[in-house]
Amino acid sequence: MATIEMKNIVKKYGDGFPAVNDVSIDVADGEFLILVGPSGCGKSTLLRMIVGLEDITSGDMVIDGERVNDLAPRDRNLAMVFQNYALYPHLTVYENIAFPLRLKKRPEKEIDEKVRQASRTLDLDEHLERKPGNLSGGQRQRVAMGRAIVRDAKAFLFDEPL
Amino acid sequence: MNKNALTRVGTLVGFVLILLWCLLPVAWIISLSFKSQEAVTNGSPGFFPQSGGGAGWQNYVDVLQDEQFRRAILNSIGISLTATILSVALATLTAYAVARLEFQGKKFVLTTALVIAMFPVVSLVGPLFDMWRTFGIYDTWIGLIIPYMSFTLPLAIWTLSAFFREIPWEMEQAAQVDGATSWQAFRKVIVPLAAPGVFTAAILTFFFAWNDFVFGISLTSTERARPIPAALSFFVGADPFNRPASLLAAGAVVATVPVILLVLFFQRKIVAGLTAGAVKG
Ligand SMILES: Nc1ncnc2c1ncn2[C@@H]1O[C@H](COP(=O)(O)OP(=O)(O)O)[C@@H](O)[C@H]1O
Ligand SMILES: [Mg+2]
Repeated sequence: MATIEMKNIVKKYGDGFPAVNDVSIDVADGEFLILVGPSGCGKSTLLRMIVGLEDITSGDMVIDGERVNDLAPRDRNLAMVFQNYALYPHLTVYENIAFPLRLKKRPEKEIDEKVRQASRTLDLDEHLERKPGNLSGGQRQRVAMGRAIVRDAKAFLFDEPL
Repeated sequence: MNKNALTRVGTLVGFVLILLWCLLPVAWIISLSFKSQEAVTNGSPGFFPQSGGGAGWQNYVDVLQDEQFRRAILNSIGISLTATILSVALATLTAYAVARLEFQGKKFVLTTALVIAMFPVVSLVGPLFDMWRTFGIYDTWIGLIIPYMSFTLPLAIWTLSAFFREIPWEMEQAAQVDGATSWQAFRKVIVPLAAPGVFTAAILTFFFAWNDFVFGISLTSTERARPIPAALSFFVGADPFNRPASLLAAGAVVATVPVILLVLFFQRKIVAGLTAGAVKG
């Protein structure tokens, strides 16, 4: 796990509208933080800046003491469940969950162990060979969570997990 | 008769007419390919090969034993496949950029591509003939591959960028968060999702190259690069005053087979609705 410090984070989209305006939050190692706010107040935008999918207009994003503003998402080692899950429709549930491990070229045995462990935790054992298109909304969400938790990520971000 | 039944009968009659219209020439050429040369030249032969003396498989044996025809098949397969692979690979990369990036002159690139696709083929043949002889690529594979690519690339780019636009941005973003480079996200997520588009583009390109006659006949002079459609027109046989119609028919059937096989093979790959289930249901 890791610490995340946000210092005066501002995000202005192309049209100049400030979606996130001067946010400073420190998240301690192991801390559990929930952001609550009305739709459109910038929750997703903030999470996307933390994982690196959105450029930060001004302010500093610091993870484990290192300024990560200019790091690509893959170099930040954070896991995120997207608001709409963003599962890979051409892959089975098993392969969806294994995807991050395959990218890291982990050995086949380790991949299998971790995927099965995640699927047991999330109660997905019966669905491992199915495609996301045939699953219910709740099942899809659990697949998205499985994909996030198989990795040894520094932090886990969930966008509207309820 | 009520209106419903009338509609159904009308539809059926329409179907039959269209089928006859499309398949009769094909049936005729297949029948012709089994006839003997005498049957073709003697008076008015019937529809079925037996009626005027059939030739069995002899025409096919003759055509496939013909050195020039075999060489033409090889040329056609090689040229069409190369043009298809290069064209689809280039178009995939271009279409991805067009669909995902905002850059200056994007509209211009797309419009220019379309204009090129609509250019009349014959208007280019003369200049190309001259240029290719200067460059030393007249009567070579590459001399045909280049024009085939420039005529099919625009269509492939347009088809593929439409497919790419349908794929949610978040697919790639999820892959990047999972630890993929941009290239890995493209190759492992976007390309498989765009596969139906890739196959559509491949079929269109292959058809264009395989069926082309104008470039094939004017940019080649020997069997070194002459493709099937051009080679068939050179197929005269022993007696120049008696075109070997049944041999030509057999050749035409042989030339059609790879295309049919290809369509059957790719058709199964073109599955619509592949992105179903990507996002919240
Ligand atoms: N790509 C974008 N371009 C311009 N404005 C955007 C974009 N994405 C989000 N916004 C704006 O940013 C604000 C915050 O959006 P978002 O972070 O999605 O809110 P939340 O997740 O809290 O509902 C909204 O006003 C929205 O209109
Ligand atoms: Mg949101």
